[in-house]
Amino acid sequence: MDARLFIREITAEKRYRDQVAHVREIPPRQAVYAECRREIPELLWGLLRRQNIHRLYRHQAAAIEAVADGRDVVVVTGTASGKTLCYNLPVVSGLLADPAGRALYIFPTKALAQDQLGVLQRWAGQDRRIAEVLAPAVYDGDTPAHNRAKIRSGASVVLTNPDMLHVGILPYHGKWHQFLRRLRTIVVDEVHSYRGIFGSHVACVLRRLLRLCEHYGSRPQIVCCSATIANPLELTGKLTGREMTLIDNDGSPRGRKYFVLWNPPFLDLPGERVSRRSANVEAVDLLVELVRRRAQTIVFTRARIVAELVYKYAREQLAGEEDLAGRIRPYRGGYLPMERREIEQQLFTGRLLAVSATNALELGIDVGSLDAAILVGFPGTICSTWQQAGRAGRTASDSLVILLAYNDPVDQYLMRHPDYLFGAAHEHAIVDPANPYILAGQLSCACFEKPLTAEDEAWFGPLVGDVAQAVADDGQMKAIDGRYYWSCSGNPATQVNLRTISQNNYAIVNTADGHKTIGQVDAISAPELVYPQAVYLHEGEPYIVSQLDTEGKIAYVEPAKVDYYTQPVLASQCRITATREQRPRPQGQTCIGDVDVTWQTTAFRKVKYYTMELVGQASLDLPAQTLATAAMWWSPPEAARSGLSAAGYNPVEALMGVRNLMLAALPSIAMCDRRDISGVVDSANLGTPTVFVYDRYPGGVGFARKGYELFDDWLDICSARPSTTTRTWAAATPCPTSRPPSCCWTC
Amino acid sequence: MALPESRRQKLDMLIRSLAAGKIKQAEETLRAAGRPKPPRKLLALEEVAPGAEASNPQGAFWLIRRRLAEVSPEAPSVQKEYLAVLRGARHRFDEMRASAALCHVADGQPEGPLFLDVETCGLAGTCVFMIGLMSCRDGELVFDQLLARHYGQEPAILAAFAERMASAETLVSFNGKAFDMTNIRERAAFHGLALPAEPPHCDVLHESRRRWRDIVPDCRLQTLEQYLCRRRRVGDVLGSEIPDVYHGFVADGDATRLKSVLHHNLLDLLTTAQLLCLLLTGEEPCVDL
Repeated sequence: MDARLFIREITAEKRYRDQVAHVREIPPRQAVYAECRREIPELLWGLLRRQNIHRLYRHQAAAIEAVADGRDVVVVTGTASGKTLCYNLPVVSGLLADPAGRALYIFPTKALAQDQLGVLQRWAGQDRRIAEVLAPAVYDGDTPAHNRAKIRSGASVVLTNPDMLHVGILPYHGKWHQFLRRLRTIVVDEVHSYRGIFGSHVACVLRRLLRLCEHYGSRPQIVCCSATIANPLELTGKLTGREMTLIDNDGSPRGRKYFVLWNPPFLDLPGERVSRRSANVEAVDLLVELVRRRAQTIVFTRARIVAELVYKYAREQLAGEEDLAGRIRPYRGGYLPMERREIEQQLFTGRLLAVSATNALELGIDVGSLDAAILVGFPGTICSTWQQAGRAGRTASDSLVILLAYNDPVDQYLMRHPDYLFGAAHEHAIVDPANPYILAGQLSCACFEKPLTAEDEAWFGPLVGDVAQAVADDGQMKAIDGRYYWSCSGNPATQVNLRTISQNNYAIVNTADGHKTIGQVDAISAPELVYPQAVYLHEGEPYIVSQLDTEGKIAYVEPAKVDYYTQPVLASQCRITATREQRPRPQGQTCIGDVDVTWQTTAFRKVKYYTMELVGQASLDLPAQTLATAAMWWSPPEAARSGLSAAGYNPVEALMGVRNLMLAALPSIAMCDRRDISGVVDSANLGTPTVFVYDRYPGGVGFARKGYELFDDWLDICSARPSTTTRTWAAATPCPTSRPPSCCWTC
Repeated sequence: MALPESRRQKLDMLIRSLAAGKIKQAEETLRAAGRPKPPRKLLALEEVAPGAEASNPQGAFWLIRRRLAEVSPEAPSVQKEYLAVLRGARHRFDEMRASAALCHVADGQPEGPLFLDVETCGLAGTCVFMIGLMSCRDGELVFDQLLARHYGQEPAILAAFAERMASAETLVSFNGKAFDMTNIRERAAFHGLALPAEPPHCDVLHESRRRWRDIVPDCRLQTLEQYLCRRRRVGDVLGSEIPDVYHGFVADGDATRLKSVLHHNLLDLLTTAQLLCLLLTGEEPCVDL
């Protein structure tokens, strides 16, 4: 597409004037090829030529050489740069040389494993000689029990996810011993998604895997792939415990890309300037214009309901214009796998012109390269922004990315400071496999698999002895002759969840169609999406929720002709259940203890399509969800608050800014991800405004505790000149955006 | 109504904990206090399972050897039946329908089969802590229970079993193809122990399904025992409790409850032998349902 022409034409219209805050041209890049100095079997070249690949990009050649040299590799190149070839080629040529060898591919989601299964199956389908050695199979929670033994013994490439590895493979290593003994390569794709608590768990799971491999006599090579992050070597080094070789000389070509920052106009009078036109509405209009020009487009929204609404509105606007309305579909988590596969395929083949998606399509499922991406609201991190933007990018022509701003502080900050977006480093991905809480769970699993000895410090660090003894004191391990044995019944892996968010799903069942399951939703989101009388949108079609069975985890829905959609009204609170320690400090009283964080859908509103008119509301009686976790809290003294008032700030709002700074600063002290912690400002518990910072993991993981112990350092970081990252988060305050984003009165 | 003193103490403790902001601790203490453990007599392993330490290059373990006559009042009749059937008297089974392993057993001598029943620490490929064996020696059925007194003795019992299996003509088990031998193989691989070739293995579960599926409610061992051997167990330990019993034994050395596990294992072996006899005679037992 001609992106510049599109921008020019569309901004010529009165409705769109003065909305482009910034246009950044990202220059095109020629492909850089390289001869691979390691031999690739002619059989595989034949296969590549059939896929129209005649030469390798230089990063592919470099990766293949490094793997052939026996090194552990992390490949960090752009979206659609042919990363999978960097591991598929070495793995398959390894199988041709040694058919007894095995490979394990680990993906963060089941969908990605299925996607890659398809790729490998197509490889095997091309040539009988490849099929003889390449027998790929997915082994995850959905794999039927009767297929499992056959996969364990017969598959040469097993595709799985970390959760299944943790709970369904490693504890049963006896059944896998032949596979583990012959394991040559471990592929860890989308490695940037393993950070924070999840990443720290995955690091331990990988160590458990490597420890068992060593036990059974293999030392597999590791190939990681990552989207761009600031510290891929550090991250993968910590995840695997190996010294990694970085391959990031991206040789793939890309066309010119225009990145547009688009700020919807004010709706009110010039003097007021408070409300703006909705970014959602703007997204629909831009999408429709792009589809009319036959530009293949993806819209990324931050919420499921928005993905559905954008789809519905766009379809209705395009009704009657040839087949255009039928060539858009929504895509989000919660659709059934078959439906998702179908949409991905239709997008890939070009049958679909546009999808309205959530970040479910952000990870590397191959849908081909598109002409345009519309990001409705800042996705939250620089990494995600570039991942989503990377979906647009043709090699031979221009592509277009539009970041549409919401009227919230972070988005508005970005509109004013484009250099932040284009200049800032990508985020650091932090993992801490030595976190004692995580270690306690993971060492239990490791001990169950193989008794722990002093040698395990090499895998899990110097805390092994102390943590194992703590578990032994509870009677779950027993030390005999210098080894810790697991000494109670049950598989401890079932008690250790790798992710902060539970994997439990609700089924969404259509009672009007033989109780067919039409979709699913995770247990945390269910009360916000499928509460009784909610309008549940699925592929733009409205259903009304007739009943939410929280026991059976089923939402019963039926199709309904309604002219409104619904929005939940959420209430949350943080309640102290126990104070463990308190320490008065010059900055005020600080405490560490236990809190119950609860949230609940208390009511919902009916909102009319298009006009957004409120046409009704009702209260709900749904059980609250509770996170019992560890928190630290801090009550600044009265004098500080009055000082703030005197300076013209609202003390509570200013404290919220401080909370944001504290949340932005804690990860570097506690070695966690920003999303592993959360915080509130609350006066109800103690009668005075208090900042609470808590771990977003049941029972806590020690992050708030770390902040409590290192409180002075923490506040120092907050009061130092905030880094750009810190500034963005700090900008997420309720203060008017005309003020500096920090509200960071000196602590 | 007067409060019992123990309850009063618990309530006081709860109030103190609430005041101190330690509700969770109180809950835990209460839960622990809610399960009063009566003072019990510790029983040493030697008292419940007269045996002797045995050892091999993999280490030491506890070997409990008992003749059938020592453990079962039914001994003379069961033994007589076993010897008669295995010597070939009254073979009536349909060789065309029977498995090769069953034919192998039928063709051999009473001393040929090695009966096998293992006990493990759980389902997920965990430690094997006891390997129960039974075989016929000098006209008598003899049990050998190879017991790991703690987790570290597993290699020793596996190695001892390997030696026994090497000289066995046939293996006889109940569900041993899927469970017992699978576990043994996995654990031997884990410890890097080589196992000898497995002799023909007659799995009585599979044979029983073929023969009696339609006349009994299900083919679990204890169901068959009840309907075909006309025996019911009293006070037997539940299979699901066995791992906990063993972990408890390793933790404090008290063998009180382990005794029932040892007995459970013996009965399983014995019933397997009785079922084998029924299979070989081809008699259709009269089953009252």
